[in-house]
Amino acid sequence: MANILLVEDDRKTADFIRSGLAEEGFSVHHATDGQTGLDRALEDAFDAAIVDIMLPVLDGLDLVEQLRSTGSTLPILFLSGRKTVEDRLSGFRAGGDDYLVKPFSFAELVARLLALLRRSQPASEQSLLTVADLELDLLGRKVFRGGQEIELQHREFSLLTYLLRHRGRVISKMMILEQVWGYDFDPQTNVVEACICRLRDKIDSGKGQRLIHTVRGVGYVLDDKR
Amino acid sequence: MLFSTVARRLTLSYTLLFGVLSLGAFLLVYVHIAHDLNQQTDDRLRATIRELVKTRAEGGRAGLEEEFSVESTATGKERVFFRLLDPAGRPVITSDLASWKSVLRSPLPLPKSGWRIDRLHAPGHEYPTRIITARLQDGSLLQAGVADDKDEVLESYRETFATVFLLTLVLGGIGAFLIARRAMAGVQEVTAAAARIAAGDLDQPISSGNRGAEIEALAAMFNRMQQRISGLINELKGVINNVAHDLRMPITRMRGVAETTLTRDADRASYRDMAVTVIEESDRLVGQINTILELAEIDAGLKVMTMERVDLARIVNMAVELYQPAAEDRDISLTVRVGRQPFPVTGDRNSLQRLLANLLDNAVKFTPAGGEITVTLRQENGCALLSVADNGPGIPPQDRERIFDRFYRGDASRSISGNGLGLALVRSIAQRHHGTVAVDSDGINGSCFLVRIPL
Repeated sequence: MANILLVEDDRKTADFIRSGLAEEGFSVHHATDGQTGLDRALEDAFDAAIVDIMLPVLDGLDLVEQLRSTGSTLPILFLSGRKTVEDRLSGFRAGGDDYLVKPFSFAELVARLLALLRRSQPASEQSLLTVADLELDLLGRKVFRGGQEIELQHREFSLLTYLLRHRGRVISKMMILEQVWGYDFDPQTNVVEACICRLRDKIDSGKGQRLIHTVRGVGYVLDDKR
Repeated sequence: MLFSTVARRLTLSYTLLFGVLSLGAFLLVYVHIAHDLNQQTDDRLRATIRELVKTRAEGGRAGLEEEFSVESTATGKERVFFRLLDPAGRPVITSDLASWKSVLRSPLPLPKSGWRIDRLHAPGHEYPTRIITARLQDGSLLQAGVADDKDEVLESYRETFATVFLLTLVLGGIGAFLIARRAMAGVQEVTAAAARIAAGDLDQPISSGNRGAEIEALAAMFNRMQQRISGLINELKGVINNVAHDLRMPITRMRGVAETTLTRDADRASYRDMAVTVIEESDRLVGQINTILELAEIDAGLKVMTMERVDLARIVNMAVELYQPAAEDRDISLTVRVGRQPFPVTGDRNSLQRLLANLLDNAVKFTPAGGEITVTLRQENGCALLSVADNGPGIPPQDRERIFDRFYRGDASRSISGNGLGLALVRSIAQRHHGTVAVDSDGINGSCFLVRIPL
């Protein structure tokens, strides 16, 4: 069970993050201002920290800068209400590992947090991803369902890879746009929905168990246990 | 502060400058006059000596005596005197020296040869005296003294000058003040008008007049600024109204769904629906807020554009790939005509992606089922020419100019979801890339959006 430090002054935001993360199996410790957050981070061993940038007493950027100056390599995810490139950069400059703009989808917060935790424990990258009878060969860029090869377009392959890498986790529309298309905005037309439908047609239709599921309002998940 | 206003400072500077210059001129003239007066007196004295030498040579002692008498009587015995002295300096012949006693009491230095001129202001004597003493060839001395009235002339000159100087200084000062104040009156008028503008009155321009080109230019500049501010404020009002309206809609929907779900005896599925609605509407709201902010940032030049070499062909292909399934779902055929080679342009990748997505979004939304959208990218006249053409209903002429305005939505688009910002963002992005966007449509056979970005 991963130990997460949450430094966030808005109680309602903190509450929903805390309860949401607890449900995902994280143990969350909450600090309401920057100084307390820094003290906690220096005292206890955490696996990752979620730090709001606008904090009383000591702001998030200063907190992380001071923490980094002690040699800490604690993975840090910044939360901020501002989304300009400049703001993001200042977050990374201060020593943050990732940056999430409010309002965010909870699924995205969890996915990013898990990515940070994975990064801190380097694992060997598999070249073959499998779920149930679906196989994806990263090196050969081939996809098989029940042993039968499925023809996928370039982006469809990237999309499936992304879903497979996060199997069992709900992936938001924005995360897909960002990871697969490199878009940092959400087009008005629901293009992602259409792309997922297309992919589902090729992967799932008439092939027994459905693997790609839509979680209405939240996103999509690839899982064989639903 | 006494000299805090420009008019007063100008007055002071003018008056000072004026005073210093006229004082300088006076001094120059004064020195010249004094010098000339001395010169004249000395010339006269030397001429007199020459005359007397000649008289003595021709008329001897008696002639000289008579000459002394005649000359001194003619000029005035108190104004001039003559003496002939023996080599030791003792008087031999003199004119009437009655009024010169105090002058001649003290011994004068005598030249060994030639002549010398001395100036003497003896105590008890009214005027200073200029005396020439010349040693003659036989060793005797001829002396002539004349009342030096130069000081009198100079004094009256000084007095006149002082009067005139004071008078002109006062008049000049007043004049300078009036001129300066007149020149500054225009500035004050502009200041007053600016104060009106600052107080919120944006409708009354500063009247033009004949206050000098600089002041008129200032007034014109202020008027332009006022117009711009007024335009911006009107635009802002419009934007705020639109934003308020556009933000109210999703909030109304969320609130409505939440309320009806709460009040009726809802089941789990209804709550699920409500949650989905809330998330979708919030996402839409956030998207809208971000778009508004982005548009404002781009237009204000605040958005940091990371200008780099990007492959526009790849951006186009990716966008088309992204929209392909959505287009197919609507039974629209989306084709792309982009060369195989990379198409490098200098631009901000994210913004260009946005531009493409917005144009495709637009095309997909307005093209009816069975329609066609064609995206082409080619080079033309040193520009990257991107066109997104559809065979939808087209855009009526009255809308063509305005579809790029913020929040403008043509009649045809009212029933279709959108925020009226997509094309405004396209234009802003094109402009930040020094490019243009235009629409070509006859209002019947579809429309074609053309984006030109200089290579």
